[in-house]
Amino acid sequence: MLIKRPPSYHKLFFFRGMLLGMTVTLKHFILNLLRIRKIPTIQYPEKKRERSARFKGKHILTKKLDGSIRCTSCLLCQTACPARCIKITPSEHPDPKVEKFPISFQIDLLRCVMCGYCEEACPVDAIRMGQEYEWADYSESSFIMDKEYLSNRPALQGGVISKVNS
Amino acid sequence: MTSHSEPKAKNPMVKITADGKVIEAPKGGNLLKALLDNGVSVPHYCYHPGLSVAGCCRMCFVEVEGQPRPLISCNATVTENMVVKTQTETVKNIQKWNLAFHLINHPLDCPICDQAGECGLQNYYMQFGKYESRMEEEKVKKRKVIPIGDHVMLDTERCILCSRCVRFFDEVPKTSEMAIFNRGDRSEIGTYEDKALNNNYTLNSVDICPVGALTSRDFRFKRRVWFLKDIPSICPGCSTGCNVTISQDPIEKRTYRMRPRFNEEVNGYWMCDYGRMRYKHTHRESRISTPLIKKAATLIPTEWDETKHELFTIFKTPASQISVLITPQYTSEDITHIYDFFTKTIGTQNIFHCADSHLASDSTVTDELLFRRDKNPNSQGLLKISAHYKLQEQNLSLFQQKLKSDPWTILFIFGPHDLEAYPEFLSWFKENNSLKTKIYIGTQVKHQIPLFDLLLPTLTFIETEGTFVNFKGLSQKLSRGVKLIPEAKPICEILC
Repeated sequence: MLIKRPPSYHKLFFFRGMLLGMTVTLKHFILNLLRIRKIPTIQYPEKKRERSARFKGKHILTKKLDGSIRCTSCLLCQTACPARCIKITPSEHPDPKVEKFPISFQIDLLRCVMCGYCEEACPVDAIRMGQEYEWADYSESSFIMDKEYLSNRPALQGGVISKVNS
Repeated sequence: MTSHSEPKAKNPMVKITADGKVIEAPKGGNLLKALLDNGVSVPHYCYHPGLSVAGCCRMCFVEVEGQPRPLISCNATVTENMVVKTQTETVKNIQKWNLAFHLINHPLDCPICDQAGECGLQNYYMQFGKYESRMEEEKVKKRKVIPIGDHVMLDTERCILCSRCVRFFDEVPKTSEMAIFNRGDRSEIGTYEDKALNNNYTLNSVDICPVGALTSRDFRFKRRVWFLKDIPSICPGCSTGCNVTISQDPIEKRTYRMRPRFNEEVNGYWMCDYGRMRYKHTHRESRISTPLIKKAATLIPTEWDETKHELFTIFKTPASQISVLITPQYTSEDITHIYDFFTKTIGTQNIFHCADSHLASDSTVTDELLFRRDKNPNSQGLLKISAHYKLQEQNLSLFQQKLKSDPWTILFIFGPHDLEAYPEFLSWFKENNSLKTKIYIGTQVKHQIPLFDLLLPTLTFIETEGTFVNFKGLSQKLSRGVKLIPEAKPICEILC
């Protein structure tokens, strides 16, 4: 089948499109160079943007007033998690009033999609999404956060105490 | 099962109307049972079809035309042409505020309760409750986490005093170990001075408990019930062949519990504690995980291709030198395949079975309810199949005699899945000069492991589909669950 092609001189017309593009670039260049338009550039590693209180960052396991972990290991966060990144092993607590507690609590940050469903599913305010978002690292195994890290890492400055239901 | 079972064929069937639907029920029978059997849902806690009627939970109210006020259907009898209404405003109101009374002193510790997900209070609250609590008084605190017996954990706070467990121990094992103590809102269930429950049927009380007051110590905190998938199966613990439901987690690939499934002809609503623990030998850690082959006097893990090659050379030896020993813990299909393969493909008649024909058809129960002496699920099936191949006379004692006299070089052993049923298995077995190659096909093996030259992992009753024949000769079907050991293969793939 024969396809009618445009005549070859048509390809010289790209100069018009290119010049149009260049004018847009030039306009932005001048506006920013002369600070006519104030764009909010943040000098990132030195200065950081303020996050909203509802920001969903690295997870935190909260504590009770006595400093023990609040989680009762009901596994509702694990059930709600769409990425299956939470793994909890429940165990018998020596105190019959506590009865059940997580002997291990792991979150795989590489699997986590930061949806915050775990925070919503928790009936006792034991898991929260924090403010941290910088977690680059060298090995994959260092992205699996355990119970100690989730509740007591240095960034939390002694841990977060939840007073709900206490 | 119990003396309180419903009157059966002798009562004529009559027609009654329930919510505009015409259903048939035996005249003079229990109204609630008739409604539930015909798919009319009526909430209830204290009524259980295998127990007597208590009428204390007050949930199963229905309206009957001609009666001045609503009545509890579990204590009503079916009469001809009665018109029952279960969905009227009055009935719904009764159920709603009755539930509020049940929940007055309930601790609402669902996050730590093992019953959550299959709890009567949770289900009925979502279906009939949904009220705002008007209770202003403090909840009455009661005792929690009391172990009663090896299998049951008691939590008196969660109890709604339906008295199912009390009636169960009174009527089924007839040990009368549980009772309701104290009065009013301080009433609680328990055993006298928290004595341990001491019979073989304690875990049935956990099944029938509609709330989390009685929970299983074995299943305690292991898994939440909504992760589990139920598989209908048959208990491999003894020759009774109780119908069970196996709960497995298909993602974790692990079995968590076994519970009875109703079958009027075999086990009714119950099963024993010994049988319930039979799922434990299917766990990964107690099984042969890969094929093992003996090289330079040590057993090393190997690939299936290599064992296939090894078996191929073994099958080339003269048929008269090959002998086989089968334990009655395999399904009838597997046993048929073994007999078929060795008699027809290999051509040997040296196939021996471990079934005891007296024990297999012994119908006496050791504990006057369900448990029988023969701890094999399929002795009858094995005997029937061996009789079909005219080899029923070749039993274990003949095998032991012939082992000394006959010049066998190859021995295949189809070992038991459950070593507790055979504590003495192969203890009589000694090194024999003429036997060159000993092959063990099974799922578990303990101290006899250095005896064998080739160990091949196969599947347990949970992972295979098939039939068990119980002591009465009743064939019952097993369903296939998740494969727990990826390397294990069914018998029909090993022998081919």
